[in-house]
Amino acid sequence: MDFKQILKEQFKDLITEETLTAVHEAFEQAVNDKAEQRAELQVEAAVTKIDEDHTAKLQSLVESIDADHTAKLQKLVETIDFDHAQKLKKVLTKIDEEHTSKLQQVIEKYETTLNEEAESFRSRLVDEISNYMDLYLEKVVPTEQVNEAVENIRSRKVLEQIRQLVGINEEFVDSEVKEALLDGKNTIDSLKKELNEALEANTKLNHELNKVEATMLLESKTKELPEAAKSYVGNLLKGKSPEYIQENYQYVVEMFEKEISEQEETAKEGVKQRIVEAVDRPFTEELHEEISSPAPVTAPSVGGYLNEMKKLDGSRLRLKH
Amino acid sequence: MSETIEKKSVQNFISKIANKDYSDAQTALQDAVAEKIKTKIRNYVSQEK
Repeated sequence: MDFKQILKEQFKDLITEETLTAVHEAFEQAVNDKAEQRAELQVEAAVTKIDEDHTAKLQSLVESIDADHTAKLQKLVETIDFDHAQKLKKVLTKIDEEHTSKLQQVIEKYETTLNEEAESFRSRLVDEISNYMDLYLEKVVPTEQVNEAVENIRSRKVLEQIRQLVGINEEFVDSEVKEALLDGKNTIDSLKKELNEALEANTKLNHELNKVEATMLLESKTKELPEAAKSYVGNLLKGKSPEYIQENYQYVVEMFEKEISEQEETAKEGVKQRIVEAVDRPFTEELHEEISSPAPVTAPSVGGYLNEMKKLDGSRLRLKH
Repeated sequence: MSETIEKKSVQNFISKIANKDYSDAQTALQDAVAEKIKTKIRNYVSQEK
């Protein structure tokens, strides 16, 4: 029932309508205010409660979400890490394999090139040095010389074979032949020795004979000569062979005569000169003394000859051959 | 055949020189020269036949 209606029934004749409306309004206002206050309080309390409740719920929710998210993130990170690690491993393995194969190819290529080049260089070097050695050998040991040596060795072998076939080789000579050969050799040696002795004695005898013949010949030829000439000829021809004396005797005597005549001429010239000088001078005794004194002796044989001239009392020499 | 032996002996000589093994190089050179003279003699003998 309405409050206004209740008041109207109770105070029907006591209060006017206006008062009733005012009371009603006041009452209404007061009730409303109070209700509002209470509602506000209740709302505040409810809000606070709800807030606390919600805060706690939110806290737990956040914590649970956080833990869940952390776990999930952890898992995700681990998964991503594992995945990335796997992928990196794969990439690394692949890159490694690729690089290894490329390096292998490069190594093979360079090894091939190097080996081929080295091989060709080695063969070229060997050829060139071999050619140089050929040229040098051809210069030092000509092919003709080698061929000649081969021919010589071959000829020597053939000769050796012929010797073996004919039996000249000492190995094929039997003991009897050897003995006979030795005997013959001894006989030849002794005969050779005797012959040498006889020849030596013969040579000696011939030498003596020649000496005696030469002496006799020289004596027989010079027995008519003066002593000086004899001495001159004897000095020159002494010890020579008879044939030599026979051939050269006349020449030696002529040589002696020529020498004597030259000395005679020289002596004559000297005497003439002294005579001319003596005519110009007052004293003549000295000139006589000088003339009588012997001429200067150039050689012992010539001096002897001049003495002989004095003895023969003449200025000319007569020789008999 | 003889040419191969000759080349090998020259190669041996060069390798000794390259390794600075001079005492063995002298022997190797003597061998190479001997092989060359042998070849000359073989050539002459084969020509004669």
